[in-house]
Amino acid sequence: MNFSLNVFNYYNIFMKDLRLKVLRNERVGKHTYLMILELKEHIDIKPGHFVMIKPNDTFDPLNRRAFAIADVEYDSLYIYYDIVGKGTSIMSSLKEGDSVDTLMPLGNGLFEPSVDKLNIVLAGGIGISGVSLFCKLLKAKNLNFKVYYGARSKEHIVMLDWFEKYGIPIEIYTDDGSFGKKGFVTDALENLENANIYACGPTPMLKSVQAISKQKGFDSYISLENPMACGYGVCLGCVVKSKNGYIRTCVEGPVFKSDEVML
Amino acid sequence: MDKLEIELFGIKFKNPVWVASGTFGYGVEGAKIYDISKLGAVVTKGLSLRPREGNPMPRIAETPCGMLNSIGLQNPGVEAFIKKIYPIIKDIDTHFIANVFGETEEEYMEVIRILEDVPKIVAYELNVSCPNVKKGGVVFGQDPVVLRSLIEKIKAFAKKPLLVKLSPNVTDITEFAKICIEAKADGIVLINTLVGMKIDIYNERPFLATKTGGLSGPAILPIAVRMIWQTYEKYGKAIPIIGVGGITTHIDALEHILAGASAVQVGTANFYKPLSPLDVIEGIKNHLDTKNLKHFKELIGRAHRLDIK
Ligand SMILES: Cc1cc2nc3c(=O)[nH]c(=O)nc-3n(C[C@H](O)[C@H](O)[C@H](O)COP(=O)(O)OP(=O)(O)OC[C@H]3O[C@@H](n4cnc5c(N)ncnc54)[C@H](O)[C@@H]3O)c2cc1C
Ligand SMILES: Cc1cc2nc3c(=O)[nH]c(=O)nc-3n(C[C@H](O)[C@H](O)[C@H](O)COP(=O)(O)O)c2cc1C
Ligand code: FES
Repeated sequence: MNFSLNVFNYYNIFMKDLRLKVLRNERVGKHTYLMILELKEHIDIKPGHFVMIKPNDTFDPLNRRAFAIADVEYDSLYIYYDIVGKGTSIMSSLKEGDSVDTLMPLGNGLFEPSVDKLNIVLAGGIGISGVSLFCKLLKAKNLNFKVYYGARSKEHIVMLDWFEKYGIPIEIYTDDGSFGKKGFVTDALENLENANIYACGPTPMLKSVQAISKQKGFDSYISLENPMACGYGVCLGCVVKSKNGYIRTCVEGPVFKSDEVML
Repeated sequence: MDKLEIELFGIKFKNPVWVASGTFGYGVEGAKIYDISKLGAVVTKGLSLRPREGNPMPRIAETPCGMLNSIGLQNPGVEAFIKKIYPIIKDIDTHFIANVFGETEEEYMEVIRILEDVPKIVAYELNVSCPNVKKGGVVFGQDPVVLRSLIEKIKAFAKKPLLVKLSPNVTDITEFAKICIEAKADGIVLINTLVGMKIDIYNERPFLATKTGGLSGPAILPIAVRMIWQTYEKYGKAIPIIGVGGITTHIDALEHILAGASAVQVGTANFYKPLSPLDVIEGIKNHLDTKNLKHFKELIGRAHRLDIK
């Protein structure tokens, strides 16, 4: 069992429990909201990191919810979230000026780009907000990369304005062909050789990335979204099966080398 | 003397606020959020003789004001704990209490034998109440005869204090408390999780892979308080009680203490409110000031004072 404890990290207090003010909270897609939180201090956020957010101050829902950090800009932290249940619907009713408890930065932030190979970024659904910060890094480092984004249909597509703002080209697939190409985002891997893959999205998509990567010998990284209770490694509720037994998605992940975990 | 300092079973604790087993790992992660030497003690995740893989997923489910878990005591085993994790925590200035689990009497005893030489571990907390393992745990905690035998065998050789964490999934908790006292345990920890269940209405099947799980969180606070009350009423003078169950704030902790707990453990709150243990410590201090009390000990079991026997 790999508990990955790093002695050198120990005295370094770096996860912060912060109460943050909502600067903006608005609907940006059929079921998707953008929340911007005010960040008053510097937090070292890397692509792949996530934040736990408590939707309200009551005991129902009880635990904080995990969200990818889509972007950090000056004093603003960007979260894109789909409304799927109790916590996210409560979040959607928050108003500018309300505050939420957060814990961050969390996760291993393992999105390390390749400098010599083509970097392929694949996003499925809300997974787009899990790769945006990485795309920003690829662009800043002037590396060779391509972004593919798959959504159910046109009205589910979000963040295009963000990609445009940063001048990052993005190719879109929809299940029904209502926008971009008709098909699955993993279709983009078909004629590809010798690339690194970075994928964030629903489990069936990640399984498909695993299978294609194995067959073609790609180095690929996948970001998992297992439900979490604590988000910082103490509950063991978020584990994923690996060669070394169950390992924690929140600490050893959420980004894993695709051959490391069994979905 | 500090208003919160307390000596229990021969050990001095900075304060009566500890963190509960399975909700704080081995302290390493919490130490990345705050200075955990402020805690009275850290109770480790359950340690067994051999590594345990734990239960399949899903292992957690939220319920109204609580959650169910069926982690299944996943842990690297006591040897790996000593080799890999202990070096990281050994210099932290607070006490560590090892939560110990075995499938047989022999396994329990072997884990404790191995921990006898580990200086930072000041006491053992016997987990005889985890509802998530088929063999072992639950049998010890719900069978008076095997529980007595287990405690007696450990007390026959163990040099460090032995606390017994009881299962609330019994008809009369005081029957088990009595066994702990007779078998010479040093303390009783009340309570572990209650067996519960959640159904996934869309897939029309139990939500957890193990079907049932242990309920924890604010939902169980009144049950913990009631069990502490009953136990203190009968045996308050005979053995210290450590309260755990549903504590988020100092108000919850004070309920445990007034019902009869000499110390408390914060559990699930570590998930949704990582700084909760520090707030509890501060809150109790402020409460003592407001009430003009010299020491929190004055509050232990105080809610019983008007009871006419
Ligand atoms: C590391 C990480 C990053 C994430 N990033 C984002 C993000 O950027 N944007 C976003 O919209 N979501 C993200 N998620 C998923 C998000 O955490 C869940 O959608 C959220 O917790 C649901 O909360 P709820 O109270 O609304 O739903 P609940 O009422 O708790 O559940 C509603 C339904 O959703 C299912 N569910 C609950 N949690 C999850 C989960 N984690 N994954 C899949 N299904 C779940 C439940 O089984 C149930 O069927 C991320 C998850 C993780 C672990
Ligand atoms: C995820 C989880 C894991 C736990 N693991 C253990 C364990 O290994 N050993 C044990 O004795 N108790 C374990 N417990 C029980 C807690 O220590 C505590 O007794 C219980 O959760 C009630 O307190 P709470 O309501 O404050 O959480 C666990 C609880 C949770 C939620
Ligand atoms: S969410 Fe608690 S260990 Fe990962």
